[in-house]
Amino acid sequence: MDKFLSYLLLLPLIVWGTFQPILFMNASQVEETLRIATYEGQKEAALQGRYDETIYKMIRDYLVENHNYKSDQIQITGTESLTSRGERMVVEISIPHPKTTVIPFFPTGDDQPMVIKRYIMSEHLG
Amino acid sequence: MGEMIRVLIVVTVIAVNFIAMTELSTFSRSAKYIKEDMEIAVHDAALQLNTAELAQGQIVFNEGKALDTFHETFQLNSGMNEGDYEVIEFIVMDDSNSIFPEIYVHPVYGFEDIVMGPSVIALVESSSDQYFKTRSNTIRRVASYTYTFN
Repeated sequence: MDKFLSYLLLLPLIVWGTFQPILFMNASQVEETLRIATYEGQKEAALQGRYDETIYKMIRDYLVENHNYKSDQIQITGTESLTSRGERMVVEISIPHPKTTVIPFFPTGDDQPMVIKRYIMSEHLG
Repeated sequence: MGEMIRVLIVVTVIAVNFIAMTELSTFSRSAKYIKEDMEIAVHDAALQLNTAELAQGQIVFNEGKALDTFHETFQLNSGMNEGDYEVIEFIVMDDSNSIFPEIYVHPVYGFEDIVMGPSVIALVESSSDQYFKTRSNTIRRVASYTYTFN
């Protein structure tokens, strides 16, 4: 009975110790993948002078293939008007936030989407 | 009771390992993210050309404007403020001061590169906090953008 009670009391700690590192690693990987996808999209958009469906598809495909996100859960908006050389363009990508805590004692913001917003200047010669 | 202490020790070891792993991961990701943000910032800086020189067929950077643009883009993308990082070096190599290809060697930090065309090179230093310690890890990264001609 003592042994059972000991395990029962320590169960939250055991669960935390087992799963927390895995969740942390997963969240880190998702963030890295998102940043790589954005970076690749930015380079392409700088050459073209705007973001378009082809670039959005490239970003979306990268995220779907690497993290099995559902394509319709990825929201991408960017500067779609032709931008002159030296002017800034912006892209904002939003995906569902990966779970980061096993036992959410404190607010973690997991219910909010993971958003990344990046700027780059256009190289396009109009 | 003995069983409970044994499990507590195991969980403590896991927790300490987790914290150490988190710190290492945060440091390596910060270094990587700074490098990525610098790549975009040097790209934007390299677009700041002296138009009068360009009309003469020379690629010459407007150095002051390029440095301002570097700061603006880097801060916009990284979310850092001016005090969070330091631009140790901001080097412009163009048709006014170089003949390409040129071998560039930094006198202090020793990084070396063959510069094939007009380039903007930036060296930035920042830091990543160490958990439960007062000192922090130094992150130093270099990025460059080069105009190449086929």
